[in-house]
Amino acid sequence: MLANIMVGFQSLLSIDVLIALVAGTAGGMVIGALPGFSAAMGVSLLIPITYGMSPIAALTMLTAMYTSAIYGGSITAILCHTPGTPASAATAIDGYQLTKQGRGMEAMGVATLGSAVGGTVSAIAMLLIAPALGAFSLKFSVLEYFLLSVFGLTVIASLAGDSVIKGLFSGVLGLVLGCIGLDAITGYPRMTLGVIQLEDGINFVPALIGLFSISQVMTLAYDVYHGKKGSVIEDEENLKHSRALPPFSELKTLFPTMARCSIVGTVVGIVPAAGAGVSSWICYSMGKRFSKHPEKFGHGALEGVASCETGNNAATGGALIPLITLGLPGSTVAAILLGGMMIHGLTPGAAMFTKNASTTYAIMIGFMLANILMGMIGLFAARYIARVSSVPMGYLGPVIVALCCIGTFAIRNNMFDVGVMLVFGLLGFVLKKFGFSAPPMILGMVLSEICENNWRRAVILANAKGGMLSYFLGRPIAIVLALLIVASLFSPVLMNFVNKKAHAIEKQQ
Amino acid sequence: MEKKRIHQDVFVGFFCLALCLLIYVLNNGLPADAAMMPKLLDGLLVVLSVLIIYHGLRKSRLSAEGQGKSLTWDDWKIPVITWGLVVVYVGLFYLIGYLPATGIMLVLLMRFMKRTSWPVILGIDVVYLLIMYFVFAKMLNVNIDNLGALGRLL
Repeated sequence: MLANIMVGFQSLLSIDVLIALVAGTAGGMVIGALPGFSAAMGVSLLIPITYGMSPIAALTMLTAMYTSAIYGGSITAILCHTPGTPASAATAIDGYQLTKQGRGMEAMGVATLGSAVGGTVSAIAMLLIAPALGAFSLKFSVLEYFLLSVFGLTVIASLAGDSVIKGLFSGVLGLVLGCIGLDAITGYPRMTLGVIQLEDGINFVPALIGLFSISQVMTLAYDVYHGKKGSVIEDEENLKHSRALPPFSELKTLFPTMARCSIVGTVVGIVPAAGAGVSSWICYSMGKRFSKHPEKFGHGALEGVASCETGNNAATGGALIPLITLGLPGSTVAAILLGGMMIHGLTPGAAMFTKNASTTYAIMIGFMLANILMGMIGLFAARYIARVSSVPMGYLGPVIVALCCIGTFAIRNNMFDVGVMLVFGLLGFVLKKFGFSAPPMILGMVLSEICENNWRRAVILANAKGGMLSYFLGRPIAIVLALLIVASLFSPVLMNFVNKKAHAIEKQQ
Repeated sequence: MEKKRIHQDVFVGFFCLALCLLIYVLNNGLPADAAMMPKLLDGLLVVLSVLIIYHGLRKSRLSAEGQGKSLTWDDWKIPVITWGLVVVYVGLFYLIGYLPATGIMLVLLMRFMKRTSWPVILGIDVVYLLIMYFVFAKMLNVNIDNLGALGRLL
């Protein structure tokens, strides 16, 4: 393992990887600071740009974008009372109160430090846990991989949006869309409508860009016409002269909170579908419970900022663990990253720690460095990055459209892909308007091939071993996975409970 | 008496059912092995569509106020026009190439999105085009510096 870590470090020491690391980190902070722009959108826009890069540079850039976008959301949450991403909603409670008290930059400093600590601890956890889990995945056969893909789908679908049924519909439709193209076994074209370009299937990246970015620009246009304005930084003049961190005597009291939330956040991140948003609320609630001054929560407690910001960034590393080892994406961004990994020829599982070990370790160490770099950039530049949130959407929207088009076109120098992006852009907007969630569809498209191919192979194997039931009952891991699928279908009830608790806390403040 | 209306989810559910029918038709002539997965998924979609209709009907029993705001043309107009402009832009991209098409689109779409400062609009336009030209056309060798279909004809 140590040898692999050393090789990973060496692989990172090339100029293209270092540029990718810095660009991904800085870009993620900017994307995260823009209200309405999510980490998912940033990562999906970035995927076409990574095509010409090495897998290490590409995945380092994408994972850096992921973690720093989650942090970036806290900048506007604290300074403008506008959470840049849903994961920073809890940060806005105490962060903005501190800004109003003239301690905005101290709150930013604590959020930066907490995010960097949480992200780094989760990266270390990934380095320690992922290889063992990867080795365990050697015990998986086609049946387990089939069940794992179904598990991934049910988890996301059951948590994506207000309606479980619509979320599931969206996910299953994604699976159907993933079936378009030549059948891998019989070679028959399926649902291609005679269009030759569709015989290769629907390219995942144009669909992704359309669903997340074009549909978001359509929403932005609506907001522009309905008077929604950009954010305003509270008391900007005062921020210029205030200190970047609270006094050390106060800062050191936050370290136990950060340590606790790093561990809890990582564990929550590993749990599929929980993600950074849930982690930040859980850690906020825990921070309050452990605090010596719980009455300060909601009125400008640095502990409140530290707990949720450490928690949400710790969840990002946690979410990467099942992704890399089992191919199980625990969040929307993880699903997009899975697509990014496949594009660069990396298949999650045991091979990530054998054949591709140097690449995998480089990516994991890159993720850790991204968190450290994020902390350094954040401490110096947060107040400037906050300004991007006040850029009018009328300027940003058209630039995003232009970037989407060239990014999609650049994949294969093909206008057909741009057309696919347009169709999915409209589809994404229509889905959103009618309460269907887009992330399960993307996950369905990503998992479709894995799901179908493994299922068909499992059927062949089961027939040779006396039928599916006896084959299934003879595989304990498959039984556990089947139980997890059933449990995940009931998870909305649990999540409902967590959300109600979170809202209750928010109302109390 | 308070007027009740059919909830939009009922119509959405029927549209989903129509989509299921289309998927069934598209997979009908295929060999059983190749059609198995799409048809299985289609069956699931049918069940989910029926559930959407069922929940829509339950919501229809509520008063108009209880059903919440239903979508109107006003909710669609601006986004659909924006999408239409993007379609026109893609058409121009195909015909005259990326850089000229983008130069025109940026100005039009910024104006459409209520930006009024010409120096800022033109500044963003020029800076963006220069960056794209050097990054995509020169560094990444993406074929964007020709004149599209028009360029191929000339």
